[in-house]
Amino acid sequence: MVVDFATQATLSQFPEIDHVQFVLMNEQKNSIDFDLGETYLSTSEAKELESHFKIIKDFLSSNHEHLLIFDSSKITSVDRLCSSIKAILESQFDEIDLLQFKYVAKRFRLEKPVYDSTTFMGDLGIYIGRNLASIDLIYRNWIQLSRFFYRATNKSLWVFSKVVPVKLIKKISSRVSGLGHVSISRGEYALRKALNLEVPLIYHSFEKGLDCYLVSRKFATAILTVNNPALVNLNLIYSACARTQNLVCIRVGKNFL
Amino acid sequence: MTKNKQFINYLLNVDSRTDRLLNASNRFAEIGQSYTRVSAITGSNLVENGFHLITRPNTEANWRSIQKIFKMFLESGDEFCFVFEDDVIFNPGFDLFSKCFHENFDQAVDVLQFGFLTFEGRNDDRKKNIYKVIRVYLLNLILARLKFVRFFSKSDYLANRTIFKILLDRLRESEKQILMQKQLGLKHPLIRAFEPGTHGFIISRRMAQLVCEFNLPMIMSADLVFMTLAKNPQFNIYRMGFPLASQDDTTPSINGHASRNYDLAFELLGK
Repeated sequence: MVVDFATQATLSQFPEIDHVQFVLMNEQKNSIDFDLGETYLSTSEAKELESHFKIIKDFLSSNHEHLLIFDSSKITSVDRLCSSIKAILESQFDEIDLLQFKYVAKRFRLEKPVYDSTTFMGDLGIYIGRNLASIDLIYRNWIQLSRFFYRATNKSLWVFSKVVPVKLIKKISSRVSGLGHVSISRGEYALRKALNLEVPLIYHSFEKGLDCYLVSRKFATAILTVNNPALVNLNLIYSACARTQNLVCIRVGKNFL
Repeated sequence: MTKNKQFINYLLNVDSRTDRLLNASNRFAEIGQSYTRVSAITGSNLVENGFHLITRPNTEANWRSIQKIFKMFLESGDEFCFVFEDDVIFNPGFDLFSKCFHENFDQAVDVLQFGFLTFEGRNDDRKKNIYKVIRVYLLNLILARLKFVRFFSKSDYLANRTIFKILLDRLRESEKQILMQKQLGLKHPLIRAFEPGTHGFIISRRMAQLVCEFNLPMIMSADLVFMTLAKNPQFNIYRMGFPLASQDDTTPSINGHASRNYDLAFELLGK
C-alpha cells in the first residue's frame, strides 16, 4: 500500500487493515530509478508514469496479491474504503484486476463506460444526448435510479405473479428478466454489498484520477510492458485497458473519498 | 515530408480465405493499383505456439498481423504504407485521394484513417458523425478567418497568456487541416481522431517504429491502440470525415473483442 504520512496516520486507526504494509510515496518519488526511456509525454505525465511504475515494479518483486495506491495528500472518510479493503484482503475477490476508488468527476472518457446495458434501453444518452448524459452528476444519479427501477420492477412483478397467478404477469416478468438488466443489476447490488461499498459500481471503466486505486498482480505485470515505449499517459492506458473488457476493471459510481 | 512519395499497399489476408483474396484482387485491379499480400497470423497459430493470451486468440492475432506488416514496411525504404484488410471495398473518391496523397500531400501525419465503421445500423452514431463533421468544418471555416490573431502574438503580454496560446494552437491546427483537405482533394474535413475499424489506413515510418513493440502482451485491440494514441497531442492521427473504404459482407475472420463475461458480479460472486 502506497500512501503519504497523513493517509498512513488515518488508515492506521482502523484495525481491519493493521497488517497491511505501508510504503511512503514521498520516499519513492525521491528515489525513482525506473527509466521509461524515450517518452512522448509531457514532463508531468512522464514523472507520474515513472513514479507509479516504480511502485508497481517494487510490488511485483514482493509476494503480495494486490497493490493499493494512494496518490493524494489528504484522504478523508476512509471507513468505507477500509471495510472494502478488508473484504478484498479476505480473498473473496482475487479476480479483481483494477478497482478505482476515486476519480476526477469531469468529462474524460474514451467512450461512455459500459453499464450493464445489453440493450440500449438504459442508455440515457439516447434520450438527452451523449454529452449531457456523461456529466457526472446526471450520469451517476441516472445509474442509481435505473438500477433501482430494474430491481423494483422485477420484484413487484414477481410478488404480483405469486398473488395473482395470471399467465400474462408471468410472461411480462420473464420478459423483463430476459432483458438482462434485472439480473445484472441485482448481481451488481450483491457485489456492492459484498465489497461494502454503498455506491453503484461501474463495470469496465476507469476515469481520470490516480488518487486511489487497487491493482492485481496480473494487471500490474501486464501494465508494465503494455505501454512500452511510453506513448500514452497512465490515465489513458488504464482507461483503454478497462474498456477492452478483457480484465476485471471496476470503478465506483460516486466518489466517497 | 516530400511530394511524389513512395508507398506500398499491404493487404492482410488469412491463408484459408482465398475467397476474400480473390475479391480484394478484383477491387485493386479496378482502381489500377497493386498490393503486397501479407499472410495473417491466426488465433490457432498463437495457441499452438503456446502464447500467454489475455484477450481472445483471434484479436491478438489481428494485432500481431498488423505489427508484422509494420515490420515488413520498416525493412523497406518507404515513407508511408497503406494497410488494407481483405474485405475492403473502395468507395467513390478513393482513387483520387490515393493519387492526391501520392502527388500533393506534404504534411506531417502519423496515421491517416480512410476506412472505419459507420455503424449503419446505429442511427445515433451515424448522426453523431455527421454533426461532428459539420462542427469541425464550421470551426475550421471560422478560424481560417481569424488570421489577424497571429498579429497579436508579437505582444509579450498576450503571448504568455494560456488562452491565447490555446487559440493560436487551434488556429494552426485548423490551417493545417484545411491545407490537408485541399491537398487530398477532399470535400469533407479531416478529424483528429481514430475510429473503430482497421480495414484501411496509412501509417508513417515513425509511427510504425513506435508501435512495433507496443501493446505486448496484448490488452488493447488494434483499433483501440490507435484510438488511444490519438488522444496524445504529440501524434498526428487523423481520420476522414466520411470513410473512403468500407467492408464487404463476407463472414468475418474475427468475431468480438471482449473475452470477459459481461456480468462481472456473476463472475466474481459465482451466482
